[in-house]
Amino acid sequence: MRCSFLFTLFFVLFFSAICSNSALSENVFQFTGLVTGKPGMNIYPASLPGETITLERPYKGAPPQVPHDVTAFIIKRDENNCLDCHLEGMEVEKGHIATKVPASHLLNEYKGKDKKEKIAGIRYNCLQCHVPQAEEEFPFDPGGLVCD
Amino acid sequence: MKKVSRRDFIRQGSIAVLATGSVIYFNPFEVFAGDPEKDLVWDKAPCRFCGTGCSVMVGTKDGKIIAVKGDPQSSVNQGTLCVKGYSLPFIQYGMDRLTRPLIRMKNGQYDKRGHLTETSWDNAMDLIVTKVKQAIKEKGPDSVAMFGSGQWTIWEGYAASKLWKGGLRSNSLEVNARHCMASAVAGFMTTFGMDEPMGTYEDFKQADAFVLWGANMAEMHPILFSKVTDRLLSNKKARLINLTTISNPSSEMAEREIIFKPQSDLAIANGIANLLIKKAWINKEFLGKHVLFKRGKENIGYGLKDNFKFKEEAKPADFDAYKEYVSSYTPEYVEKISGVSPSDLDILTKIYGAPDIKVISFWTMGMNQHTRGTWINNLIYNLHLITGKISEPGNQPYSLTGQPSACGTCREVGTFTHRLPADMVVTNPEHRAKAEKIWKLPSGTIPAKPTYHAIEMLRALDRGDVRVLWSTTANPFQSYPNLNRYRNGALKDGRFIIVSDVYPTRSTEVADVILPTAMWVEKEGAFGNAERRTHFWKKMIDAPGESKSDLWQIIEFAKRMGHGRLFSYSASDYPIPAGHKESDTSTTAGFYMEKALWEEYRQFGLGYGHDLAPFEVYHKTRGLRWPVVNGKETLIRYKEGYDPYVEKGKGFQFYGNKKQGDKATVWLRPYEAPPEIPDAEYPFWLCTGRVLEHWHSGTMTRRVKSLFKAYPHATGNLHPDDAKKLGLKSGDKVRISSRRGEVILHVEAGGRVTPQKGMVYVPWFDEDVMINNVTLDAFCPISKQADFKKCAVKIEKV
Repeated sequence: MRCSFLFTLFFVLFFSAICSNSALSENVFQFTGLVTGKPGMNIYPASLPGETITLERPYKGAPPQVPHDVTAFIIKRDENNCLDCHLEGMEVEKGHIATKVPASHLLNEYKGKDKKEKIAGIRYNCLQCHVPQAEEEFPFDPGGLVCD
Repeated sequence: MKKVSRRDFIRQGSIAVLATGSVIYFNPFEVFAGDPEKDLVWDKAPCRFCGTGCSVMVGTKDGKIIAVKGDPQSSVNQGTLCVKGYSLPFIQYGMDRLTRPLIRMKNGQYDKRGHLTETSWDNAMDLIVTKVKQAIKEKGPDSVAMFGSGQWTIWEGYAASKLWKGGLRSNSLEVNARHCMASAVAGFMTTFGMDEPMGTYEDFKQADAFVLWGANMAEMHPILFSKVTDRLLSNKKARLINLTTISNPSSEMAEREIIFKPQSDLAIANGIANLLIKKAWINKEFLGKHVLFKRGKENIGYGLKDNFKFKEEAKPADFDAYKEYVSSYTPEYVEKISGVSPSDLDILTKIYGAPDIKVISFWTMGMNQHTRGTWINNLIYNLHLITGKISEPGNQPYSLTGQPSACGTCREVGTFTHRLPADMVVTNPEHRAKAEKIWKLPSGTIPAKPTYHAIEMLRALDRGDVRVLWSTTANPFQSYPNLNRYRNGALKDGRFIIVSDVYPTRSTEVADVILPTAMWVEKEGAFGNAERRTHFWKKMIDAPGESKSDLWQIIEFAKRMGHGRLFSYSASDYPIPAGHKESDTSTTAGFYMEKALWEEYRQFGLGYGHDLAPFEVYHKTRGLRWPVVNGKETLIRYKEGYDPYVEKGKGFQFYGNKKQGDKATVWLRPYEAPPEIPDAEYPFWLCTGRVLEHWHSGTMTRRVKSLFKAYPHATGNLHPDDAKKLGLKSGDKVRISSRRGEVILHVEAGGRVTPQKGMVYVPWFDEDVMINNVTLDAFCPISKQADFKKCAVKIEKV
């Protein structure tokens, strides 16, 4: 209940603050939602693996995002360009080590006493979870909510 | 005008997340009891998005969601999630979350042309009740309509159905699942007499071949595609064929990508059947015991005119008639219609025919959003029935589901105009009597006549036959085809639109009243996924401001309409357990409303092939697949030894079709052309759909920074040859127009999805690209599901 109250208080203050200069009554809103009036293109960084720095994760524990170009990447049954570098954590360029696939994604395959790490089949389609970020600011900067 | 920086708000939000989030290890195999992040409280919930039904562990702290991880205890997703699932911690924290009821007002009074003005729940409900009563008085109860969705929890859909059909005595109840799953339902009902898949995801582990029928599973059902991938990687013999109109990422794991022309799946399926018979790859024993044949009505129309009516006239047929019927679908004829070569048709035929290949067919919107959607569902079942490759481990036709509870709520509760719970229909007097008995209502309460299916509902609103429309957990004024007509209809005088939602959307733009709504783990809920799995979750956090759950809203409205008795249960029968984070509905009621509704609801299915377990069981499991009989879930229906409803010695029993001796139906259905075909003036096909990163109309996912940035805009994807022919390059701005409307957007030549020549693909998630102004509201006459995949457009550089 306390949380709910704080939320209410916060939103009430928030709305009052932004609407205080309005000519109309202070609780009148015009929403624009996510409409910007500008359809756009999706343009991703052209940088090659090894040329980029690791992106900050949305939250601790969230899957890392892809900082480099993946448009020509192939993930087929017998070829996985992501794993070429990330399975082992390869040093792609001097000082640039690809983020290694964590233990949670791996299966231990034993041949006699030799243990070999293998990607879990269910984690093979890297790009359904690890996605690149377009070269564009999050645009709903002033547009999300407008008072009139 | 003073504006607020959304970015600043988000930045503050993310710092808060980081400040409280500290160290969370992502390791799905760890034991949660020993989680290093002791400050977080972890609890399970199904994902908010698609119909796969992944289980997520939700980590909360101080009343806020801090993190999620894939639930390792769930056999659905085995500890993984897709990029949308991992973004769940952000979807409730968009800066423009609706927190107070709003009414359009001028000079302190409700006014359709007024400004949205904050108000109290009392005022909002009073206005709604006044408008509903006025509509009932002037136009009758059918003029009051509710439009819900497959994102309703089971008890929300159940409460809405009980109130509308048993209280208001109106069958004007529909859901967005009509646009999503209706053809699948009609396919199941006409072939098996019973809805929903016979198999489960367990079957994937046994299959030798997977055929995608117009389903880009890699993007739309990523976790299920990963399960398929797992099978492909662990069994060298396993194969995947991607039968599609658009080259897409699902092809990367496939042995063959077979491109076919729009609508020609009907001819391909009949063509395969023809070859199966010619090559004697049919299972005569199975056919003799478990199948009969029927011929349906043909030239059935497209529902383009208001008040369109259709009635099936099925006639009995036999195997010889079927053989004769499909014999005209020769490889040459199929190639002419579909563009699929005879050698590719051979590959498909062998997969369906060879006795040593276990095959699963997958489909979703490609087959369901189709003016012959019921037919193509029937035709795929035909392939599995004539070969006997059905209801066996690894041999299944598998209709995938779009929404998290399209099955659990819309289909099982029956939140359609013609339906009642557990596959029952309002047109059947016995079914109505059963519902009236369970609902403790006088005989004759439930109206026997269906009113408006989804498309007709908004046509009726435009005409003025529907006066009040309440939309919830959906975004009809972005998602309907031929949208211009329906948006204009909503804005007409005398129409009253109520929208329950969490954010401002294209639907709140046309709303007279907006109700701020609690979402996902802000309430207690239950979803049902595409493998008949019913999955519960508990309330974990409070909803912001004055937001209330849909269940609370429906019951509050019911009380004010004088139907409170429909939701009055005994507090001693349903006490709220100690230490339980109770929902707004239970708090207001003073008893455990969710449990009371569940225990009543499950009476519909007990002993009727839809058995659901007692309430508490679901809070202790990662869901159970119905029918749940003697505490045991059912993995494969209709097969002896797996399904408790199959009698001993029968082998298989399609008991949904009791009246025809428990036999499934093979339908004789033809190829028929779509209603609008590209011509000289409008030379391109338009196909719409989704992308991996966004859910439906994007109102949640586009408010998540990392998802927005992963795929910011809807573009028009063209084949590079077409782009060249039009003098276009990627990034050029174009106008795409049809006979109904237009949209401005940028083109991409090739890209992640590349349509066949003569087609443009546009996803519908982008509020700046209202592609449904362009689409056509033609529908399957049997299922009434609209075809969002085919209409004719022109493309011009602007």
